[in-house]
Amino acid sequence: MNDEDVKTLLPWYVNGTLDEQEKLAVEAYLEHSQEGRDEVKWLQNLQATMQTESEVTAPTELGFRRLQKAIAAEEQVTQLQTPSKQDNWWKPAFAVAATLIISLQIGIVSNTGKDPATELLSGNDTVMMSEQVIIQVQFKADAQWQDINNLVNAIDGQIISGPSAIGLCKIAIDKTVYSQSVMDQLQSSAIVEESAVESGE
Amino acid sequence: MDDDKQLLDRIAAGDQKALEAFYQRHSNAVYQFAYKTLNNGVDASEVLNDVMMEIWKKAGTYQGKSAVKTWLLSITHNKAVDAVRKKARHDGNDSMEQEPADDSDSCDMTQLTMSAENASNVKHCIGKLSDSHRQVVYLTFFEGLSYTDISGVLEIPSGTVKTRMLHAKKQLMNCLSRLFGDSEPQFT
Repeated sequence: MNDEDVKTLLPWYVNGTLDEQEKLAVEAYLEHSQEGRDEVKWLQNLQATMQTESEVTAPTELGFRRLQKAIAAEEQVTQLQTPSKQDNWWKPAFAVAATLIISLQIGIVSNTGKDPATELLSGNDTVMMSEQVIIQVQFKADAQWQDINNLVNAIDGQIISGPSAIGLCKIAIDKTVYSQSVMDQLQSSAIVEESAVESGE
Repeated sequence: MDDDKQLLDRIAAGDQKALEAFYQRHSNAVYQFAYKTLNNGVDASEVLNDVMMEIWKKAGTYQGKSAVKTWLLSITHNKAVDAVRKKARHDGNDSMEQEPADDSDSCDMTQLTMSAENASNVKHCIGKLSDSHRQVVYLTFFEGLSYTDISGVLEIPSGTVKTRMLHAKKQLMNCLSRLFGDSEPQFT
């Protein structure tokens, strides 16, 4: 291996992933090359700086809830589309009945307002109680699902859609319950990035 | 605590608890890599969701030829490339193919070393790299992958990994050298 070939290995010498033979070749090169030793020092500083900086936070809890919603939605579609092995006359009726059952479940869950997680998984963006205020809330990327649940229950709300890719949820609150103090509670919450009334105020 | 292979086996059997554990263990690495490729959080979140959906559907296809993390980052790369190409069809350009603007050699290594200690300089200069060069730098110095593993993740020959690193190094050197020239020199 010539010096030029060895130089190309320096980044992986620095991150410690070369095999024994390559490592020996690099060390032999470094013994006679000040330029090589300077470059290793520079790369070590670069690596150290990169590893101390974590610029972005993955949306762990919210992201996983969103994934669950997507999985549930796909499984519902698959159940409705899966063809029967027999070409029976009752197949279309069964599909209609399954759709009706799922719709009723979505309706029942939406009307109770007790389990935001289940409603979230239903993926129903259109069920609305009459006389509602709809609020858009962007939760922080590191928000925990239990904290979101507690906050939504504390304001007597119900998540009707979300979370989206950026942690955006829509929360419905009955007009008789809604007041400025609800918005104050949301905006002062440690897990809320931003909130705004979308409609109904 | 289950190792990754055990989690994948449970995911393949439809265990969402195992998926959640896998998600918590690996979502940050997937998101960071997607973010480095796409340079925005919304697209990175979409890719994270797509990658984990793929894991849900295809956990059973993992054959153990590479480490789970390498396989996962390979899926992430493919999803990120799809996202870039989809966007390029709208915007009319493909950032994955952008060539470096400045690749010349002329740097003072002492200045460079000092400049590289400044996190904002490093962040700025890495941001100026093309997506394909930035990926190689990120996978080497943040994820700590070998060039062979990077070759597997990005599905390119090892020689291409080394060439991209060579170009990336030169661009970083030039960028950091210019930034050092703009700031007060520091002496220890």
